Amino acid sequence: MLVQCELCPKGCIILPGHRGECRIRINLDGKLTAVTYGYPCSLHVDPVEKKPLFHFFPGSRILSLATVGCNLHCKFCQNWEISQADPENVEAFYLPPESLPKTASSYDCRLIAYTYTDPVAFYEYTLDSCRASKKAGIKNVLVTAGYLNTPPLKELYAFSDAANIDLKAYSDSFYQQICGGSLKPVLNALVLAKEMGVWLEVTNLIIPTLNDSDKDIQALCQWMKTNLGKDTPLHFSRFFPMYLMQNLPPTPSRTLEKAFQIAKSVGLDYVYIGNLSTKNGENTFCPNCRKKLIQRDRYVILENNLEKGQCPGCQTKIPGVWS
Amino acid sequence: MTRRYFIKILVSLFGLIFIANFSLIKRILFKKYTIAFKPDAYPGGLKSIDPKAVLLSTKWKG
Repeated sequence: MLVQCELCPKGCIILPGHRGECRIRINLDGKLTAVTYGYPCSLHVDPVEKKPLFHFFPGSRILSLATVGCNLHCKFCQNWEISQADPENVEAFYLPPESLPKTASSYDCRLIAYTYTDPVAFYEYTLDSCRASKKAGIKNVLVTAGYLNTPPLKELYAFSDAANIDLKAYSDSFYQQICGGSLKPVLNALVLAKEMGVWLEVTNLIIPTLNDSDKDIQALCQWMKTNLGKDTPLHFSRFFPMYLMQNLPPTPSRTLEKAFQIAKSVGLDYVYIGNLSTKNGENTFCPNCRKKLIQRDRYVILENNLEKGQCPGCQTKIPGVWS
Repeated sequence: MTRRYFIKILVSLFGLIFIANFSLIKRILFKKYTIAFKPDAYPGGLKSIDPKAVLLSTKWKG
């Protein structure tokens, strides 16, 4: 019996014994089976700034996990060894959703991130883990490309506290040619997160020659401002040659600084530069009085002047989840 | 009605019948799932969780 997976916009039709594009949803005897359910292959304790989330419990430890598999096939993937692998080739732990809150607490983590590959590919495991963790008072964070159909996404957002969604480019042809996806579902995922009250930060990896033109960056920032609001944090991230894109150089620092300036000129309040040490690219400033509120160096908080989520200088409320 | 129009209508009609049948065939042949079943076992090898391995995976202690 053929099965059709309706989880993501790809809608894979899968022959018996075969798998969907994500490699982890397999037609076993006419039943669609999520073979990595309960079996993460990566489990780490990270700083929340690494996700990156800069306005969500700054300085916190976050238990981060992933299973094998991804429904996109980005040629620049930084975690391709697990995202583009078959589950039978990667060792995993057995960690059922109900054990996850206890595991997080044992590592002194009150946050859990579903990350590294894409939590929407191991959807059932993410959803059940989010349910169990929320019940235990632990916050759930999705680090995702947001390539999912709306009904399952709504269900997942209902149990999620924050998301960092990767907006890879504001271009459908980029998604088609470089990632094997399309732009529209990602834009829907971004807007839906905002509408459902999930704390949202956006990451854009800038890749030389592919999505680094002023026009591309301007369009992305303008769309963000119009649809997500000027107070949604945007992280420009530096590209390093990886996987199938080893022919391109790392993103020059001047490109990232230029992107930063464009985003600011469009009117976004919270813009950051990641994967590169810059003077102010990682710091949070008050959009009203320009006072430095949080000073960071990579993943370390050097100074946090926020008082109850407000600027101590002018009492402007800074959007985020601070404690 | 000219012969040309007749052929056009005929082709359109065949197209419509094909599309209608295709979705019908799809409905009969494909079982649709959004939520997948849980597996009986993991297809890859299993390793036990070593707490030290997890904590040593980052030097960052908060």
